[in-house]
Amino acid sequence: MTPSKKRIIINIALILFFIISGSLYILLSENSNISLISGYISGGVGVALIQLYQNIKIQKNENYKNKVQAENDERNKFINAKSIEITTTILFIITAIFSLVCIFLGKEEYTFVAAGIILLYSIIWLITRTILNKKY
Amino acid sequence: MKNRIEELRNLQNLTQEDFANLMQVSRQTISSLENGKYNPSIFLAYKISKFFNLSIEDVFIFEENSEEK
Repeated sequence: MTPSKKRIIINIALILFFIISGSLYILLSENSNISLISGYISGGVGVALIQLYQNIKIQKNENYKNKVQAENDERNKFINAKSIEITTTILFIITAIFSLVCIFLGKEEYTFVAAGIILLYSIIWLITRTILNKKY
Repeated sequence: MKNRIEELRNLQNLTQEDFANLMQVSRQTISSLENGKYNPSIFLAYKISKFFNLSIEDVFIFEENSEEK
C-alpha cells in the first residue's frame, strides 16, 4: 500500500472518529454544550477533509505529487527538525524563567504547572530517545 | 563540503529548476547545495553522482576540517 493510500484511510478514519465521538457525546451527555462540540466536530472534520483532498490529488495528479515531494524533500525536513529543536530550546528557557519569576512573585501554582510541563517533556523525550536509540 | 554540482549542471545545460525536478527536490535545495550551505544525505549524493555518471568523490569534495553545519 502506498503512503498516500495509507493517509487517505487515516483521514477517512479521522472524519468518522470526529463525527461518531462528537455525536455520541451529544447523545449521552445531559448538559452538553452543543456549540463547543459542533466546533470540535467541524474543526476536526475540516482539517481531515483538507488533508483527504490533498492526498486524493496526490494519487491522481502526478505533477502535484512531484510538487509535494519536492516541497517535502530532505532539506525541508532538515529545516523543520532544526527549527523544532531551536523552538523547543527557547520554549524551555522561557518556561524556566517564567517558573522562577512565579516563585519570586509567590505564584507557586504557576510554578508547579511550568515545572510539570518541563517534567512531562523530559519524560516524553527520554522515552522517544530510548525508542530511537534501539531503532537506529 | 564543496561540490561540482553547478559546474556539472551547466555542462548539461540544465537550469536549477530542471535539475531539481530530475532529482525530485526543490529548486532551493539545489541552490543551497551549490552554494555549500547544505550537505546532502548519502542517498541524494548518490542520486546526483549517478545522474552525472561519476562517483560521489568526483562530485563532492570532502574536507577533513569541515565542520558539520
